Amino acid sequence: MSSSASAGRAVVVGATSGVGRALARSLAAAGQDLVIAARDRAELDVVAADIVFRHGRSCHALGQDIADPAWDAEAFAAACFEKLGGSVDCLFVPAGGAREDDRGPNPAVVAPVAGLNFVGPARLGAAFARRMERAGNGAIVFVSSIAAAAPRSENSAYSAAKAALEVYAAGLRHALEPRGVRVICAVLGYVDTPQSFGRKFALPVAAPEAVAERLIQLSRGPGGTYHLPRFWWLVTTTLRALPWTVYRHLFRK
Amino acid sequence: MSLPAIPLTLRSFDGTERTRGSGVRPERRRDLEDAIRCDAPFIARGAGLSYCAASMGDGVVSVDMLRLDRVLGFDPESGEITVEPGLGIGALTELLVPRGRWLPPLPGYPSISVGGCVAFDVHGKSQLHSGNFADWVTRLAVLHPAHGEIACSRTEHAELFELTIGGMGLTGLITSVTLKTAPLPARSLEIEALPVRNLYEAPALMRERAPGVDALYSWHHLARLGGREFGPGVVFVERFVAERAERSNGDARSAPWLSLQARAPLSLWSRPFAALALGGYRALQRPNRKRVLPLRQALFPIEGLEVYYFAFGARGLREYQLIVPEARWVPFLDALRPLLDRVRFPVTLASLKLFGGAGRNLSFGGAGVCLALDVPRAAGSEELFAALDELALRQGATVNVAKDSRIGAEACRRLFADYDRYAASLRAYDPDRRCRSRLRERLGV
Repeated sequence: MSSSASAGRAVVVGATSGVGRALARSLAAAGQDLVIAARDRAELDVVAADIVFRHGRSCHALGQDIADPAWDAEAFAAACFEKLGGSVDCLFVPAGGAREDDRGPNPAVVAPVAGLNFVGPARLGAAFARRMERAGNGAIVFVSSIAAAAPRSENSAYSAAKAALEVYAAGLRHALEPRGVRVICAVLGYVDTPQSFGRKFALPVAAPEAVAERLIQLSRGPGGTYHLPRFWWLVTTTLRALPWTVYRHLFRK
Repeated sequence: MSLPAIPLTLRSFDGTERTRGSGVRPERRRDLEDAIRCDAPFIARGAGLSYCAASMGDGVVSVDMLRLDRVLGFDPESGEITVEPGLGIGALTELLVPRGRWLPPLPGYPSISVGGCVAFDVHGKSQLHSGNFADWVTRLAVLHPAHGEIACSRTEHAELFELTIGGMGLTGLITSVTLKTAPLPARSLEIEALPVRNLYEAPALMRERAPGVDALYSWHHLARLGGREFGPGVVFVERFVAERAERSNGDARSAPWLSLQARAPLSLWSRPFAALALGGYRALQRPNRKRVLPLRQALFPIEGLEVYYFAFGARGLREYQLIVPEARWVPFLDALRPLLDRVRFPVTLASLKLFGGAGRNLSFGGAGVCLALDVPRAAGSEELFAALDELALRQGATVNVAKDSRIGAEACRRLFADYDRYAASLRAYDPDRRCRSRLRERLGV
């Protein structure tokens, strides 16, 4: 399998599972060269080897925990640019999740959940923004969740972190749009992940592969906040408009 | 962080067994250890296309392996490939074909997982030509909470290797499979249809045509209302050809519009309907007609025929598959015919293959003529299958436990010479019976 000319260069942070893994595969299938990153280095190597075998693209694996407060985002961004020959067309940040936040308020989980779902992605975005600004182009795709609009008692830290990420993305978009860098925040509804496996939902569950394809399409368009699938915009807007007296009954167990 | 196990009600592919357990779906290799760390019994689950309840059980955690579908290594010199068990055989074929390789012993539906193929030591359309899946497996890795992850082959931890191939998933979670592959002769197959008067004559014709072809199998019409011949049909002979398939759109096919597991609310397979539908199918098989099909369509003939299974309805179907020694074929048919004459439901599928080699454990193998029969699950189908058990025993046949949701421990003990040794080996390896399924309970191993 010979490698043809690259159709682009992308970085995917959180590439070992769910949407991140599907994104990495879809980008490589579209001919893009990749840097993929995640906490689990051994798993990352498996994903990278699989991508190289399937698609013949270059795929560099960087083990990195973006929730680690000691993490150097600048050095990570520099390494990604260096691995991809000095330019990155798009940064995707599907990393996130909060299994430990599903059991109700817990002071021990607030910082790590905020680290993984807001602080880490925000630092990543800022570090890449500087380099993309210099190049005068690029796209940064953050991944948020409908949980930002519909916090429940079980995942309040996660919801708050995702809400913060949406606000941060909007601010970054203001800062970067005049300089040719697009910032996209994708708000995902139900996705078929290990967390949703086997559960019954009232609304459709999207396949990670379908979400990945849509994220790639979004990365080529203008900046903004987008709900995937689109009907979630109506759902989240309605939820936000509900008075507390109604809302409090919705997710009660 | 541990994976959440979700309560799951699962149904066997034939629709006759239902279990209440739980399920997890790992996406990372380290998640596998999480999934089996608790004390609950567990069993791996692939595409869920086992006819029987092999990947489920009451109170059992079914570990869905489909997201573990990565290629772990490929040797372009030897063609040997190492994959995770959740990879589908259709996806595997799509990866191998551009590299000029293929895996010959492929069952007929692309979403069947590699792990499932190992667990039931499956065969393809022409076992005589391509052998069983076991013949193509060189190495495995198996994860069990009591033993950790063990790499095994015919020379290293050979007992575990032998116990795992055809072991119905009862040795733990298979974490990687290394497979031999063969050079792909061409990307199209020519299929020739040879009419045959009845089931009696088919094996001789197949034996005569077997040399020099790449696959052969037969189809027989047993749903006729009346008629003198027992199972008139067609022997299909396949050869790789360089000629491009006429209606080929490459190797890709669009996603099926109906899931293979979807079932109508009621069975549509009445005797008149079956006589009409199968008679129509037979009429379409023009004598000595040759067609050239693209590789995927030829390798996975069930893809596109999902409606056949849909028509069995919510009550499901029963399949009986057995290998009859060739010398016993005529007396076997003489005894089979009156059994089928008595039933009031149609035989919706009757198909033959030639088999060679020997079986292992409780898996399906041995030399002879392989017959598969499908019937709707209906009043009298249990009695028919019990009679078939007795017939199989009298004729020295081997039955396929992977296709059978009702065969019990006693019948298995009588039908499989290896039963006691296999059961003892399995108990020695997994004395706490951590790996468990409805199938294991029923077979008493």
